[in-house]
Amino acid sequence: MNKTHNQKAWFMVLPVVLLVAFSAVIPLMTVVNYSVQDTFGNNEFFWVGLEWFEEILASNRMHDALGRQVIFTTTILLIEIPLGIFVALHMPKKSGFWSSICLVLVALPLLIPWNVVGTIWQIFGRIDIGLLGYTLDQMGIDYNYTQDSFAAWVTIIIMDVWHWTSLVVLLSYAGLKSIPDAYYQAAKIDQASRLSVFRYIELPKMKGVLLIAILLRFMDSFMIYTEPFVVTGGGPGSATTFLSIDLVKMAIGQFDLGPAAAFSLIYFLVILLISWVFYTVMVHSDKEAGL
Amino acid sequence: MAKITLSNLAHRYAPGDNYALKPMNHVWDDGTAYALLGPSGCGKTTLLNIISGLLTPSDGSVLFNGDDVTKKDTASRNIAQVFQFPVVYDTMTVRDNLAFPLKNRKLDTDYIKRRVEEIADMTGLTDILDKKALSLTADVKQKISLGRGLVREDVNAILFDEPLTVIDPHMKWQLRTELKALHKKLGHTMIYVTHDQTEALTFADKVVVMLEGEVVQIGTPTELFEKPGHTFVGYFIGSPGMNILPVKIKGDKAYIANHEIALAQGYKDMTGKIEIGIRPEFITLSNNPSDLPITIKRIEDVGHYKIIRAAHKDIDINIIANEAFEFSEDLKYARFDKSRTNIYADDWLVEP
Amino acid sequence: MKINKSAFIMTLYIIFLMLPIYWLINMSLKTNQEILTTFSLWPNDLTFDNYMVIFTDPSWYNGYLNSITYVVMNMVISLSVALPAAYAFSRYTFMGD
Repeated sequence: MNKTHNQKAWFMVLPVVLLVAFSAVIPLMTVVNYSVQDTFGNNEFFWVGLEWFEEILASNRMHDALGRQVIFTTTILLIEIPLGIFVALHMPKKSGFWSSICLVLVALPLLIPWNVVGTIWQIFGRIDIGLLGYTLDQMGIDYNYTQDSFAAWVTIIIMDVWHWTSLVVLLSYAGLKSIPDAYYQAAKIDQASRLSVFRYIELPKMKGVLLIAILLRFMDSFMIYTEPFVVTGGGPGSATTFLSIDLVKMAIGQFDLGPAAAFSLIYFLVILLISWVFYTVMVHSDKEAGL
Repeated sequence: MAKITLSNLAHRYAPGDNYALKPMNHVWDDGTAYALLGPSGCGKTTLLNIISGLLTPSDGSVLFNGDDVTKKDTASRNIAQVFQFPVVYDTMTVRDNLAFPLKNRKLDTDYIKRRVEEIADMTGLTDILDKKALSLTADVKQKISLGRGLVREDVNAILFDEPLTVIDPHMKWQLRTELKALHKKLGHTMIYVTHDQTEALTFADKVVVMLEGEVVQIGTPTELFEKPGHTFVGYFIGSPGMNILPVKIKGDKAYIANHEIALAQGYKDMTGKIEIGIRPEFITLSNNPSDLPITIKRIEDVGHYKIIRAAHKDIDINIIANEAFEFSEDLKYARFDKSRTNIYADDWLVEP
Repeated sequence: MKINKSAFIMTLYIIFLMLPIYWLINMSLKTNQEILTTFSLWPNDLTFDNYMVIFTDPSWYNGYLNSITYVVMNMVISLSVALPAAYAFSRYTFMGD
């Protein structure tokens, strides 16, 4: 498309630039500002350089939160991606009543506001009024997510799996549907086993879609806040305090703006780095594939 | 190698639907190369899928060498199919692709290795045996698909579903030649579906022309050209196709709007839509007023022959003349070669 | 009876997804007292009172109004600011694009 060179086009772009500057850039700069300053109170700040960064990076508390976050993200990725692919393989292939019903019901958990998800599961897990809690209690299992950290972890992980596996299912399903029939027919003629069909036809063709699913789930789970917060509040103790919960505690609970700001920046950079790695892998494998 | 028999075969997708394939009885001889020719939607792919086992017909049966295979699945019928676009296993090398069908049948590794190399040699893939299949061009991928079909020695028939559709034009000719050479060498029964008459006429020993689910004519390319059994065959084959004009027949004379044309034989009285068919190659221009008067609209010089676009009243007539043809004003009439004129009633050829 | 493996797995998965939602609907049709005292798989005393409350009590429906206001404002501002910019980026070249 031939683009005409027109400096006046700047006026059309100006509103967006201003808006983004106001709502994103300036707050970002404020954070950077806070991250290199300290205060004695009364809104008086003085420069401390990278002291906050050093302190954060060395702090045990941050390491613990990071450790929990990594365990959490790894666990849910290991559950959600294979489970999502598995369910997608069994989604009805023909368009029809059953297919539409499945799609709608599978998508339902994705549409629920996140704090409602937290509330649902908080109640669901209670022994007195929740179906899950009550059932487990009746079966004799000692289940109390407010006091037992293992129970808290399990609850949060199942909640996340319940909430987000459907995203992986829908993405994988879209990828699967785009495979032309001829591949399955050729595999039939070649007498390929079901496993071979999955390994050599379905999985390679779903690669692009799967990478997107993994990237999305990674980013979201690394930033997760509302759902675990509503259910456990980070407890019991600090058993389920993930990175973002820890950050909010610092910033708003303790009002340690300096460390909180430094933390935010590090957090942001970590996610950016890993996403960039993913993106490069995706583009690189795309280049290898299509020429 | 197998002789394939279609017995009372018909297919419709749901009871009460129109027949996608009308009832037919047909034998495909062992070792012959057939072309299934017809316009899009005429049922050729349906027929191919029924022969290969990817589709079970609603009526009738399919027999391989006399054995009823209608209910058997694709793998046990031992056929190979090459699809419209290349189907290769992208993550495997060419060698692994070719070996795949044999590995699935749990054959001996040495045998597999030998066989793969044999087929690679036949299809010209030896140089790239250890390359990943993903990054190869479309024509090479089609060769891999073909090789995967040939690698099983006991394959009954090879079915092609418009395999050259995605190939670049200059490679099409080369691949066609290679396919023909392979057929001569290996002697498998081959069934080649296409809507391109050049592919069909150059590849096949016999051509099966289909229209709207029905087999309209089966014959060698020459037979199809000289004696089309159906107006569709006349129109579809040849470029430009046969001229069809409505006529009235009385004995051995045909009348186009009172203009008399002599016929080679006499015909009985017929009812229905009567038409006369004659190929552009068999019409000559003349200045004899007793021939059919025409007006000439355009003369196209195609190189080694000329196409004369003419019309009689409002019916188009195409005439082919050789390149030395000189136009002159008094050539206002067309003479039909009566030994090459055919009469059709309701689109079907009438024998005198 | 032939059990379709895919349909079976799908049904299991959908039941898993629907359980919390079913429980939510179940609770929404019970009175507060019933929730706290008895445990039942369906409401013994079906009541729509809860739904009535969220639609009539100001402290509840103000939430809807705020949400709608927020969403509409968001949409209007986003569209009116982004569309000209998108047009500019796709049609013109200019300094700093």
